[in-house]
Amino acid sequence: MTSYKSFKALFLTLLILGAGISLNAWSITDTYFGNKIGTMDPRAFAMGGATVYNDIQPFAIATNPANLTLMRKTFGLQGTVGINRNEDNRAIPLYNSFDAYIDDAVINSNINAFYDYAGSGYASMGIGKFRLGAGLYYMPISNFDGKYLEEIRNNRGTDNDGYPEKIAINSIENEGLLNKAAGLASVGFAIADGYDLNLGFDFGLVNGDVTQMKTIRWTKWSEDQVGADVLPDSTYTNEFSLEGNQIKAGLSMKLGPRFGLAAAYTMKSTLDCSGTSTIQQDAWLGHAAVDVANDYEVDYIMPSEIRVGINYQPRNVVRTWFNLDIERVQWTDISDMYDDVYNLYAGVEHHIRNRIPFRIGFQAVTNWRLENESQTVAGVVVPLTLAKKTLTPMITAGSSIALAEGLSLDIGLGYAWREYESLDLFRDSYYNDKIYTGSSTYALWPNSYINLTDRGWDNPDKVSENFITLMTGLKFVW
Amino acid sequence: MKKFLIMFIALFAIGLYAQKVDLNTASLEEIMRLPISEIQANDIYNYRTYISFFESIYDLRNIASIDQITMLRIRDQVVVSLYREEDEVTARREEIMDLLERLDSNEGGSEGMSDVWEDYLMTPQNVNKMHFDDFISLPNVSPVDAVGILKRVARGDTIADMRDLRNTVGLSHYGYTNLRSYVYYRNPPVRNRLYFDAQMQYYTRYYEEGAYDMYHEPFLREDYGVTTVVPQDKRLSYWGYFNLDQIDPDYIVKLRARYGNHLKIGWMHNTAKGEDDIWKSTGEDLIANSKYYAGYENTDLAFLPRTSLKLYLGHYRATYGEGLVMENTDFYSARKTGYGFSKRILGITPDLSRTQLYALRGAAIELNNPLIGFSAFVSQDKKDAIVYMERETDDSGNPTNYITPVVGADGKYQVLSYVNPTIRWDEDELREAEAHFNQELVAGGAYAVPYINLAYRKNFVDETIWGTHLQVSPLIGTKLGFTTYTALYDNAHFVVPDWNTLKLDFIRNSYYHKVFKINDSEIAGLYSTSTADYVRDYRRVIGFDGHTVVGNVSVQGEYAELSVRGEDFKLGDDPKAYLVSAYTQYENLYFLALLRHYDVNFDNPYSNAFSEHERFDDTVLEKYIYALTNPTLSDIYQNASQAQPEHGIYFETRYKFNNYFTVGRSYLDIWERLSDGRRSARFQSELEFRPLYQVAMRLRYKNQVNRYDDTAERGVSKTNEYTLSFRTFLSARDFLEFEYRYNTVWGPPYTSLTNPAAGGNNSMAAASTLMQGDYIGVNYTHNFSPSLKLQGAFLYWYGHGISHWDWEDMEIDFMGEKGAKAWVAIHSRISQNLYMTLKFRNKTYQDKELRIREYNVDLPANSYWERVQHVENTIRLSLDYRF
Repeated sequence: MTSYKSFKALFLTLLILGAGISLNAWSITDTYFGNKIGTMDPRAFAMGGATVYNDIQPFAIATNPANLTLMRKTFGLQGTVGINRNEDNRAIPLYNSFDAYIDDAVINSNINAFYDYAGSGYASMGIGKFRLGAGLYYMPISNFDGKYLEEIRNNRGTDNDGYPEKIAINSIENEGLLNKAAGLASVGFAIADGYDLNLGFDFGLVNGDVTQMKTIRWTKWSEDQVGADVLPDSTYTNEFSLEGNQIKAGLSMKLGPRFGLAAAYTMKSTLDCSGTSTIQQDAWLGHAAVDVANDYEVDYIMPSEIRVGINYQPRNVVRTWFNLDIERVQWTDISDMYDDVYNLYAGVEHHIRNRIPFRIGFQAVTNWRLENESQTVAGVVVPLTLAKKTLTPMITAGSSIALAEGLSLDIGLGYAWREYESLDLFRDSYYNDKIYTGSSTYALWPNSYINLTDRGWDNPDKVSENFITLMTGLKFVW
Repeated sequence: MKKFLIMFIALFAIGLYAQKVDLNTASLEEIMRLPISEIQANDIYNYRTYISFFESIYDLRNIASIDQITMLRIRDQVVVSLYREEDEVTARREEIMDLLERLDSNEGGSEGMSDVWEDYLMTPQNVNKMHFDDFISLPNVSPVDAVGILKRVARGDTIADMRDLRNTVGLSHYGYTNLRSYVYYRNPPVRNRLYFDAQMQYYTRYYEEGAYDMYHEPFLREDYGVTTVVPQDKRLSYWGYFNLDQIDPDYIVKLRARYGNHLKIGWMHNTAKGEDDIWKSTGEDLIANSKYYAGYENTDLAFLPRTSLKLYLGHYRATYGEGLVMENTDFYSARKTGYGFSKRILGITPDLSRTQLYALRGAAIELNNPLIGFSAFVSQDKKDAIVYMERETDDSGNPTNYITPVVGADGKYQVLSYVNPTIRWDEDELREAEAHFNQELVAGGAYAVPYINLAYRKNFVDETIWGTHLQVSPLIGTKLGFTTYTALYDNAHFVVPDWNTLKLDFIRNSYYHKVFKINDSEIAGLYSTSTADYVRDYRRVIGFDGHTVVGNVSVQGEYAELSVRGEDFKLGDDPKAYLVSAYTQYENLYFLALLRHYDVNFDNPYSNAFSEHERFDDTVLEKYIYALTNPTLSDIYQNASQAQPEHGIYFETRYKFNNYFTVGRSYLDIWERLSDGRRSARFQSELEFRPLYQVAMRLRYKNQVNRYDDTAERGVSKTNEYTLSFRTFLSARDFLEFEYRYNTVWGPPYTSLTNPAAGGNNSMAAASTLMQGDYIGVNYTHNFSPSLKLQGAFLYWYGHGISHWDWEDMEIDFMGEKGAKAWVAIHSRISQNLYMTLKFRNKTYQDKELRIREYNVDLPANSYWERVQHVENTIRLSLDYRF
């Protein structure tokens, strides 16, 4: 009977893992830093990502290498798949002298999903009061996937509930991961019963290939209005590779049966970034076709991080774990444009009944991103790069099922959202057909008073994103 | 944490059980020697370490891996010694847990009063030594109850225990049940020791509607719309300039420590949404933006019998009488009667409430005995204010877009008013923003005042306060008190010009001068330290209060005057305020009548007395934000804590017929707003039918009529609200409630109410309107275990111009238009001392806004796009460690 139950749970797991493989794409917010992935451990994820002190899950070694010997297990193995659903809603804040500000009417909405997978394993052995261990893990640390579609339409007939004509289709297709494959070693020393000290060191190879493409395609209807080969389609491509390494050191201390204290320090990493940026645009009125490729090689800096956390296991009417981490990310390592930020992770696990855990958690992570904008100063166009800060809170919950001795299936679910402003992804002046036709009147826009002016930071998009993440994984420890 | 572990093993049992494994003391190795698996041994060890000591061998069956057979197999090889975890503090906290939760729920941590009550719950006061003010400062303890106890003690009787307290003549059952947790009799339930309380709250909230509108209002040139301005610039409002769209949390950190009820220290820092993070603060800023105190209290001085002493340094609250002269708080509370749950804690108490405006920072002393009481306090602090501004000039004497405070002939700044801002921006942040706004205002050029002439400034007014309260109590329950304070202003004058000048200062566009109406005399009634008649550097308020209890009737009141043109100690020659209330109680009934009066010119920022509305309600500061020269002037109203000038009488009662029927708190209030003579009446009543203990049905009705004295006036409105709820009290303290509310608001003809969505149809007044709204919701509380509680609610509402309200776990939420809301709060008790609450709320609602379809084209002012969807996600994480 037990084995049948285990089989059923295993089948369910494989079904969930398999479902994710056909899905991809994520947020397009930051094409430079991508979307940082905190942990790939479903238990830690369900507890808000608080895992710098973790003596249970094999994937805890990825956050803090000292957790390896803290676990006091001979062997551990964990594989995880995460599925993320992203909803991106964009609105245009506008002013009017009467009602001031309009900001929540969504003009474009995209919903996509992506997946990530990761694996980790370790082995350790005790020698007297010492314990030595070594481990390996693979995980993506940043995800560049993104997908976005937007239709440009005029407003003909909308007063009579007509459907307006489609002028152009804009799209963004980004793909890429920054992967980390790391080896680590840890040593633990048992100071006394219930008290031990662990130190760990992690060296990881980091690499990734990223392709980012942005296209503007005029529709058949538009071509019909102005004639063939008048309106130029555009394609902007950026392909780059990242390569380097990352070093991390950690400390975990068990301070009796109830308290644990840990810290992990990730050093600043400078990756080699080489790529090609291409602009392709069809010929248009008096302008030849453009097909320009620029190769570049630059340094790509990942900031140093220090994370400190506690674990508390009180005597309670139900078995309880509490973890709280605070992380300082040294963004000033990259540029003075940024400020260092503090991230908060907190989570609790209660065993409601018969070892079935109920986990809840919270995290608040602040990221910086870069936005480019040009400004005309004394008639000269000056390129500007702005740093923008975005806070992403997330609430999490999860549980796990024991499949067999040492083998369990963990499930974590998270809901995160963020609200921020962003420059218009596709500048409005591009859709001024008078430029391409040479005419003094619009052919595509029935309202002749429209002033198709680019919007800068004086009137940016208001973006509201939310993420639903399901993370599940199998864990085996012995 | 110090735990007292008492082990009791009968001597004869030592020999008997010597060879057996004691489950409560054995090491893991010893447990492993039992004929069980390693996993089972670990589970037993972990159960003892992380769940509970064993009370009997049969507790083994609480462990999932120990089945009946295993337990029977090892039963003869194990023994359970008697362990009793005797942590008196933990035991006490368990005892009062429900009350602690109720206090947190009722107050939401805003005013900090619950801190004081929580301390008294943990370390109660000796009922035989408490004074009258001590009793009546406790929630739900009436003056009649207090006198009953005090008379008994005065007779030489000593209340020995809870049962004895219950037998006190004059003490109502209701008073007894509320008092019993705050007092002890012979020996305190916990001994003096060090208590420590650390709280952290992280909260991503949205601005309330008023603040949202205020910050969105743009600064636009006078001829905007005549000459097209494209593209529109979001940075022409505070909202756009400071990027208030982004999620930005509030952080509150509060640390308190005390030794018994004697020595107390505390510190609190609040970083509100939109303000700089705490770690960016300099040491000086950190001190300026924090609250802190150190205090000493002794309820029984050795050298003065039956006399108590309080001594505080740092931030403290001072509250006397009915709060007319002095009750320093930044939080407004409607219908604060001083009875039931809306109590005042009289005297000096430490203050760690969130905001800074009316905080007193300095030193305070209080001496009290049954016959006489004395308090004195001094405070020195810098206060936020609305300041008169003028344009700076450059080297050539030409005006720039930057503004600077106006300096009077005597070298002092000129300020209009105190203000408790929604966001406490620093001057250097505002300076650039204001220059940017002025650039736009100047461009049009046609305004009378084409620049920002009144602006908020943080920590602007140097204020020194001294005050005192004297009290004599010739009889038990009878007292007469005198209170006064003087606020000295070193660097600024409060200046309020004449009506017409004030109108020009407040309203930028002459087209809107008509919106400055008679009820704005509240603004004109603000206190000046510099007028044509006098120039001084202080504000002084003097008052006296009295209280007496005769039989089961308590009468209390206070009279106060703000010294303006009259003599300090002559009655009736200055703006005045008075409040008298009478309260009587029977076993199942109480009745309260309260008369209050506040002159329009009685501008005492440190008062916090009973009223229906907060000051400046319905004035230009609330209704016409778009017409103000600076929309943030509206903060004077948004966060006002004073009562609106009113004259009115209020009646309140509650009557429990029997176990089945109760008329809940019901009241009738009839009052006149003194600024414009508007008369209003408000009535609310509630009937509860409880056929079984587990089931209750409630019907609540509310009616309010404004301007009933002149139905031809445009300010007339008639509100009716009907609420029906069905509540079930399930097992394990679970709770389920269904609620339906229906309300109507009748209004006079008014174009904006009858404006249809299509453009061009709002030029004519329609007939009188009747707005209808309703609301349906479900509330549920489920206790998974004593450590884990889940609360949640789902509700759907339809407003149609009516604002609904909903009381959540510890905060009120207002909903307009049409939408749905769900919230869930998980309360996790991580350990005996550590609590975590995680609350998430999703609110989705539709609203009318200007259509954006024709973006980049000037928008016609009356063109609406219906069904713009707003989605708000709110999260609150609270961690509370109490030791």
